[in-house]
Amino acid sequence: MEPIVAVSHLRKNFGQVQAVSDVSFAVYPGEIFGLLGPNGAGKTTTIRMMLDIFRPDGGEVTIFGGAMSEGKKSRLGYLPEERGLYKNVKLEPALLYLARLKGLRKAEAQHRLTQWLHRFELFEHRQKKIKALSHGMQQKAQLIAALIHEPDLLVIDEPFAGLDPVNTRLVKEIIKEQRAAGRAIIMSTHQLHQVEALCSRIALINDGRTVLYGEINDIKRQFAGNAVEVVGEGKFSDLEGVRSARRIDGAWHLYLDEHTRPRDLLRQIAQRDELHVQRFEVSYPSLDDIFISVVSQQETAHA
Amino acid sequence: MPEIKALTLVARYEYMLRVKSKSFLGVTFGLPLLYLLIFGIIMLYTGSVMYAQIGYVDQAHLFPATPQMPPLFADFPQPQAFPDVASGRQALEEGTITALYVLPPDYWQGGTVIAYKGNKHAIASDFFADFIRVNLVSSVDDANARARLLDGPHYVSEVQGTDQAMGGIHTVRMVIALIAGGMFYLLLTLSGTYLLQAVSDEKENRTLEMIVTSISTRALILGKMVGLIVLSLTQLAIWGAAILVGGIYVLTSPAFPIPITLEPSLIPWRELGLLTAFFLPTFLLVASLMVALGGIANDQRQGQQYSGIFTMLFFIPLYFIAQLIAEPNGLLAIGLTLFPCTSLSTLMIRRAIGVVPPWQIWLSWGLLTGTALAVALVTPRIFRWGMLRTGQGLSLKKLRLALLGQGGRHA
Repeated sequence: MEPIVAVSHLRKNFGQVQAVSDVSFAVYPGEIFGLLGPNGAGKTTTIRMMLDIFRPDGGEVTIFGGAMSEGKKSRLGYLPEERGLYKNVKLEPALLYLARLKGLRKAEAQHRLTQWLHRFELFEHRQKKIKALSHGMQQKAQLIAALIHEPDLLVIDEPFAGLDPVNTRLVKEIIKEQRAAGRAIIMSTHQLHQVEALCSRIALINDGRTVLYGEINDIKRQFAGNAVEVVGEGKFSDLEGVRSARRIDGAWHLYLDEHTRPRDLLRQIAQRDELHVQRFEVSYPSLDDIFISVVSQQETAHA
Repeated sequence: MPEIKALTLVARYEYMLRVKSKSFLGVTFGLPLLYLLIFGIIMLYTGSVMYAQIGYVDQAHLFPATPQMPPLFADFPQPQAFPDVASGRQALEEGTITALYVLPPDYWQGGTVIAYKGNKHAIASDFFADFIRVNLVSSVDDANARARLLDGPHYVSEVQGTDQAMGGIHTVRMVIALIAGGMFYLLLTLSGTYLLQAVSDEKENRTLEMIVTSISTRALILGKMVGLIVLSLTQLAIWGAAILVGGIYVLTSPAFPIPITLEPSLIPWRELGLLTAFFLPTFLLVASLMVALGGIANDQRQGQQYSGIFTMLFFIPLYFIAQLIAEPNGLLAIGLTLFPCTSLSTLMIRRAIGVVPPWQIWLSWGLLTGTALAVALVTPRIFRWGMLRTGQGLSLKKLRLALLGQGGRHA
């Protein structure tokens, strides 16, 4: 299958600062792809290069089978992270304008907009100025602008920011619908549990480079050997070889360094009288754990 | 989407967005009302001054028994003659007259007139001077000699370096041309502000990112410029209509001191044509500069600071107006005529008081149009480069890279 978008060894400098040094990934139709990374990792710069807002200093972007062109822009939907529509304009005309810029005819744009406004419970607010809407409402309005023309590629940067649990669930449903319709979705977020719930594949960018890339399950399997879940009494975090420890719902989630195996840890626990184990099992690490592990490992290496 | 369609959408949106805004409506309709108010107050005051009764004491025996009225002031009350200064001053104190003029016995030798004045006197003196002149020449038999004495000479200036001569230009035409020039200037400033706001708003709230992933930057910039040019023309049409209606009403009003017959020849077509020919490239220059500044600036406040510096360039002729009037064909005047930012206003000032050689007009127009087109061509590059560098400092090196197309986004 041909990818919808593929970036290869992208590089971008801003003066002396290297924002992106080597980022590569490909996204296919019908998948939700997670673009992850800590703040300042280069995610937004990568997205901007991918969408032809910035010119890369090196590397290549292929979108819909070739270089970006004006004709392809109507197949893109983009929700930028630092959002904000026209503050002093009423909601409905602002969204109609953005929909028409994507090539929709006026009647069609109006028809679709009415449907989306109802779905996002914004219809009653359509004649309000955007600055009068709450942060969550503005976020939903921006999502409408990104979705209304039914793009083949949807790029959403922090789509859940400012949303309450009800609206978060609604947005998740919509993202899944888009995937089911065969569209490609690139989602950049710090909410890794949402990535686990929605995405099939991810790329983790750190310090301007792709440091992890592939199927989430494969990546978890790759890191599985180094995580264990322990239920019991005592403090398990200061055991030798434990890189990080978290307590979730009464269970210790221990992430081990590369020299420590689960059986080494079990041996240590057995030798310490103050620790009582009720359950010990090798576990798949969460994306959170993998993220923290990879990023902190790199920070240590840099230090 | 075809670029022309995108451009039209942006232009229509910008137009509709701003034409309904309170600031636009306030300036468009408020300004003529303000001028009308000021003009009305001036007219009321001037009218009361002009139609005030004045008196005189003729100790020089200049005036005949029935003095003639100057044609220009034919509607004025006939000045009242007093037999002596004491009775005249008493009338002045009682307020039955507003000024008293005494022609002493030795008026014929020195030409001195003693004036006793109330509060309203400025224009009365001009009137009385004409009153003396008309009655002085009434004894001259030859009609031509009378006319020459009353009208004074008509100067025709032969300007060195040109085969043109200035002469016979009607004052009203020049006044109309100057009003139109002022109006155009105000328009330039206002539309510059609209453009700056239109660009920096979108940049500041990051809507630009969404728009440039929908249409080309060129369609966006040109669309904004077209929309705001049409907006400015709307403003101009409203002001023009207000001036036309108000002007006709005032000029034909019986209260207007100078009797005027309105006819098409009064319209200074040549001046208006020249003004339009210079206005269009000047507008393009201002618009391009404002878009570029909006792209470079991090926010609207910074944009206004930058634009303030550039706007000052366009107002340079006003700072040197005294020198321009003193030496309309001097080096400074020629320099400012040829400098694109100042050519429009310098030319209007120079043509109001003299003749500008055609080669200067043509060269000035060529330089202005060339510069405007060049700036308009590099503006999209500067805009593209600047639109996503919010929060970063500006340096000449970065600007140079942007102009060379190496600092931002694809063309």
